[in-house]
Amino acid sequence: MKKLILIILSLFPVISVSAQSRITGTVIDDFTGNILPGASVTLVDSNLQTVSDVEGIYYFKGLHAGKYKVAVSYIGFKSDTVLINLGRKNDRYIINKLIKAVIDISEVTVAASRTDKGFRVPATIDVISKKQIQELPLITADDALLLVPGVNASRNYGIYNKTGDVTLRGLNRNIHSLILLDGAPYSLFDGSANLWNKLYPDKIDDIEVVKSSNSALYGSNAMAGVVSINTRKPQKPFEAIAKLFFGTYNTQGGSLSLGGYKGSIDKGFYWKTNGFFRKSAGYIMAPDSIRDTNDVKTYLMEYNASLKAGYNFGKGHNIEAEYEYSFDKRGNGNKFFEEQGSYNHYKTQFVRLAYNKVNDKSEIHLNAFYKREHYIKQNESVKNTGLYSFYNTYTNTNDEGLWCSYSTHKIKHNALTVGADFKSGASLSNDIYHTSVDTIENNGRMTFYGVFIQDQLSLLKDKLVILAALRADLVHFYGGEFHIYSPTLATEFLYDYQRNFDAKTWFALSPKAGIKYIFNENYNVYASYSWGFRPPNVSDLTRTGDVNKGFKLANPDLKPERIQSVELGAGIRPLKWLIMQPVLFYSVGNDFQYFVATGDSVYTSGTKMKPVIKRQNVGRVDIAGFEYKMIMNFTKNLSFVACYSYNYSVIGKYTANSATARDLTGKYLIEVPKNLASGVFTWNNRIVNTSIAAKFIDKEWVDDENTVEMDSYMTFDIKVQRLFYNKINVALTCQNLLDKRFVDSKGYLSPGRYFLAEVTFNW
Amino acid sequence: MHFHGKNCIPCYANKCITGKWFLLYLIACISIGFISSCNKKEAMPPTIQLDAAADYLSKDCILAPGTNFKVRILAEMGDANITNFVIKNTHGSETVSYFDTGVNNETINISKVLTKSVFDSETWTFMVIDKNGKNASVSFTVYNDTSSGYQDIRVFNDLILGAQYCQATGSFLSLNSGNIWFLNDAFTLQDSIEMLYYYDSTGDANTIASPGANIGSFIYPGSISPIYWTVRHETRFYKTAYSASDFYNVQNDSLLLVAYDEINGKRKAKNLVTGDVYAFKTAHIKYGMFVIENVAGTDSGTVQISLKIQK
Repeated sequence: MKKLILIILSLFPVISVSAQSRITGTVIDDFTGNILPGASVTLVDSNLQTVSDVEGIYYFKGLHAGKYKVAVSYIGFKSDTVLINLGRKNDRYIINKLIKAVIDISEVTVAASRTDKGFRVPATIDVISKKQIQELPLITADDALLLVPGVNASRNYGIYNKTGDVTLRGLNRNIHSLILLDGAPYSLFDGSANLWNKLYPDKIDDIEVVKSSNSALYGSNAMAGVVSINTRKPQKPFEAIAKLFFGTYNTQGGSLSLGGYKGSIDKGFYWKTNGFFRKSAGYIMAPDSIRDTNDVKTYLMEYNASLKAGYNFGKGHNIEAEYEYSFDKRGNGNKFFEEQGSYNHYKTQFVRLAYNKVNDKSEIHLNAFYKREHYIKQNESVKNTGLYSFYNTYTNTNDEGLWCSYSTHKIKHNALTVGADFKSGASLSNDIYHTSVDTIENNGRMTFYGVFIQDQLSLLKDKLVILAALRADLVHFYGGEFHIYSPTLATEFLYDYQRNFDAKTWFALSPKAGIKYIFNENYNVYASYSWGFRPPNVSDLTRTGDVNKGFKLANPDLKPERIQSVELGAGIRPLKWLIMQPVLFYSVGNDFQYFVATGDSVYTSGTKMKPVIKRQNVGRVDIAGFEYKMIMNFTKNLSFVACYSYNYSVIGKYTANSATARDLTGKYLIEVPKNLASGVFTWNNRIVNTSIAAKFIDKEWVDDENTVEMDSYMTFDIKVQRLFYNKINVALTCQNLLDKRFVDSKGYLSPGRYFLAEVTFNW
Repeated sequence: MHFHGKNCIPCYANKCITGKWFLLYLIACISIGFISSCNKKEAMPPTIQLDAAADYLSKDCILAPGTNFKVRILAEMGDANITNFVIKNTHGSETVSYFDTGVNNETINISKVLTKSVFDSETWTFMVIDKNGKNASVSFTVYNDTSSGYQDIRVFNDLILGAQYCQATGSFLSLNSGNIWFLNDAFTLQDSIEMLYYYDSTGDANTIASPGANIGSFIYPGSISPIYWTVRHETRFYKTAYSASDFYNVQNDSLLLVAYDEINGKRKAKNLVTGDVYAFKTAHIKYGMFVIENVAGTDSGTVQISLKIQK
């Protein structure tokens, strides 16, 4: 008898297991039929969550009979919820067909609203997905911005650029746009020009671009918009991706990404580490006609390592820490005596600590960050007098702060967000001359305080959205000084600019208002009005010395610049395979900060005279423009994206306090091409996946008096790739297929055609 | 690696290292690292000396004002290349840089011709600095020979030099004779020419310079332009704060020796204005001064100067 009971009991687990069921699903694009890997799938009310794998498949097992809601979401698509009635021993298989919701992607973006929730923000937001980043023929992360109209991402020397210049909406400086990394400011308080070299494509999961002034949410440096770089948490208990690449000019390197989680994807510890390395012998940037024995190849060596770790308390509730170290050295292309010649060298550390708690009713986001950039410039030159000059610049720039925001949806039809930001930055610089006894010291500090409030009202069953926001900023500049110790003739051109600079404080209010009407999932229109604010940066206030454009004088009387923008846009999908996004905008910049030539020239280092320039508030700048984006999905494997923008950026009223009598009223802003166009054609097939990109950059003025123009040019890029055994991807990219070479305004040659071969291993 | 027991840590080359020995090894490594970091080697500075051969001055002496003398400076790097070489002259409480140049060499071997000035005593200091900021110096003092007076000078009054296209008078001046030559003749007398005059429409305007000033052939066109001469003496100029009457009062070389600034001397005296007084130093280490008495016209115009120079 006992034996019989034991036998029956031992069968119980088997009986229990066999009474359980599973749900298996595949997530696909409703129009193209393409699988969607990495889609978030939730069993609502049961705290079970998973993601679709590389084949778009997901499953939940060990389920008892009952009713289940399976909710599927994927970036750029409308969410889908399926109700399933699961019986005993009744495995169900479903196909989730998601509809593209480009019209309404504001639901899934963060940068536009500083929240995770579905905001129907009255703006045009562009999201570049991981899939697009992998398909595009790009070498650097900012190459991906050709998918965003109105963005001018220029690298005249390719990967050898000391910086990547990314400007938005007819404004001509990097510093006008805020760059975020996982919600924390990645651009330094003083306008970090080097950050695009640290953001290599493999690390990025998506890029969000919100154009038009966002100072109402983010304060200074968001005058032209916000570019948010996002990296995802690991999607599997263990994942690994390794890449090796080899390219033109003896470029070689690789990347490695490892990550995983313990527990489940929404509860438990997770970690992710990324590493990147690249070196290249480079090419000679001096054109043949002026090349001499001191012109050498502009080499580069860079590496980057980061570690992110966190703990998920539950879905939408986590704490996370991140550390990143990067090393970057790029030659300037000349060498006299020193082994490495003249170069620019950055060593940067970035630390971020975040706490997020998101649920249906409210959100809390806390982001503490610290960034330290150690910049070393080595400069060798021979002056027009034949004298050899050799000096090093050492600049430490520190940036730390805390950003906080709280959002609540408890008030009916309202989404209210409040926040407070604090940031502090210091720039401490020394020029140490080795061919004389001069030492130059240049310092400055700034502290930023900001509070903001935003409310979004949804009416008419969420068809009408009204947004209002207001931010107050207080900025304090102090500790500014410029001194020369043990001066000799080597620094005589700087003698008159030594001083301690008075502390200054600026206050600004930045409002924003917008309205959006969503007819249906295929049509919407919006209008918005916003103010932007940006204080002067420490370098313009205190630093006199050589810059790329000439010899820059410090201007301690510089005032903040402000901008007012009006924007009218729409999202239109007249056909299932065709999406169009036109935008009209007009901006007025007051006290706009602009480099103005004084009319003098001076010999500093080198044999050429440099124009003396000064950053001044030039009165008023008028910027009018039109942007257009068209997305065509011809078939499930064939698509075309086209972007066009027109910018009319002129000095509307010139009132600079300049020693010269020149009037720049009516002159075009320098380095702003009138027309920008790009197109990307993608064809995925069984043999090889292909992506072809074309980019047109119109002429642009290089001097403030509009006497010298840089020619327009067009480039074609192509990428072909194939996945083997579902694990090994082989790709070949060619940028500037037609080998179009040009000499830029500084007199340097572009690199021409560039090849890159890559092999990626995916576990 | 594998483990053999509770006292055995890693196994290398099939030998077991017990915990006790491994700990000692670890302590030794840490100690060596600590000691070596404590005794971090100081960077070696460069070294410098003066050539003591008969032709060169290397120690204290007595000389008459205006006397030229030679020095040879020999320097070697320590741990880093030499990047700066400086010659300074200290008289009383004032120190003046006489020569300051950037280099990037392992060694220096330079000869210089210096001139005894008017001061009772002046100390000449020769210093090299390397890339690490380490320096080395050597010096000597030259005292005034009170038994000798100041040197006589040559005086040339009312010299009229023509610009490059002037038909009335030549552009090229000999400071020995005071003769003025047109280009064709000056080309045959290159060794005599130490000063010239021209007009530059691109910015320098009315300019006095010398054949060694690298004047472009757009000023004096043709194959006999000074830029192509085989002998091109360089004279350097310094615009003084002295007045015309100060100049006219000069009777000997006392003022000529102190008026010229060794560091700030330039290859051209440009944008000439009537009343300006310039000091100059020739390639033959002769000091002089001139006053601008009249400037007229452009590339066919003239300049009138009066000039005084050491004999």
